[in-house]
Amino acid sequence: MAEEPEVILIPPSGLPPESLDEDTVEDLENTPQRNPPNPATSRQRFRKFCYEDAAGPRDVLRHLQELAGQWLRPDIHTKEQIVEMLVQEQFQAVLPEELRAQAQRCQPGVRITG
Amino acid sequence: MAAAPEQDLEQDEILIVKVEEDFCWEEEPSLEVEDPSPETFRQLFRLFCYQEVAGPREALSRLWELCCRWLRPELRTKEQILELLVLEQFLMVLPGEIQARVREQQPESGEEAVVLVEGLQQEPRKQRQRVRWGAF
Repeated sequence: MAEEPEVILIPPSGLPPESLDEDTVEDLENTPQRNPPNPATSRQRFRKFCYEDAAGPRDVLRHLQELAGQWLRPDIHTKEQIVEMLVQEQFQAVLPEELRAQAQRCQPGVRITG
Repeated sequence: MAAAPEQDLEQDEILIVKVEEDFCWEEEPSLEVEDPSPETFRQLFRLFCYQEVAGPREALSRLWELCCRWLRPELRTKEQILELLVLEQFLMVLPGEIQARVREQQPESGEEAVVLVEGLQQEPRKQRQRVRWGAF
C-alpha cells in the first residue's frame, strides 16, 4: 500500500493571515522604492506593521490606511476584485501546508463564478 | 400545549388531543435566525477550517460567501470595505490589554478605535498602570 504524504493541519487562529512569505520586515524596508511595491509585498507590509513603528494610535491608523490602499488599490480595483484578493489571502492561509506550496507555484486565483 | 383531559373515557372512545402548533423545538444555531454582527461574520470568515468542506473549490466558494457576509460589498463602498479591514488590523496590533478593552467597546471604525485608545491613554496613571503600554 502506497504511503500517503503526511498532512499537517494547522487550526485557524481567527486572526488575519500573517505573511506567508519569508521576507523579513527589514528586507521589505530595504527594498528600493523606485517602483510601486507588488501586491504581495504590499500585503506583507500591511499585515506586518507593528504598533511600535508609529508615534501613536492615530499614526498607526494612518499607516494602516495607507498600506491597505497600497495593497488593495481601490483606485484601480473593483469591489469584487478586492473581495477576491481577501478571499485568496484567507484561502492560502487555511490550505494545508503541502497544498499551499503547490498553490503558490500555480497560476493565482481559482475563480468561482456565479 | 393541550392539557390532559380529566374526564373519564369510555372504553371505546378515542381521545383526540389537539396539539398546539406554537410550540418550539430548540432551534439550532442559524445565521438566518438573527442578524449577527459584522464581527460575528468576520470571525466566521477568519475561523473557517479547510477540513469543513470537500475540497479547494468548495473552500474558496465558502470563503467567498463568508467574506461577503462580513464585508457586504453589495451595500458598502470600497472605502468602507477598506475601513473594516484597517479596523481589524488596527485592533490586532494593539498591545494586549489595550486591545481587550478596546474590543469590549466594539468600535465600528478605525477613528472610533483610535478615540478609545486615546481615552485609555488619558486615564489616571494608577488606572493606566494596570495596562501594559510597551511603547509609551
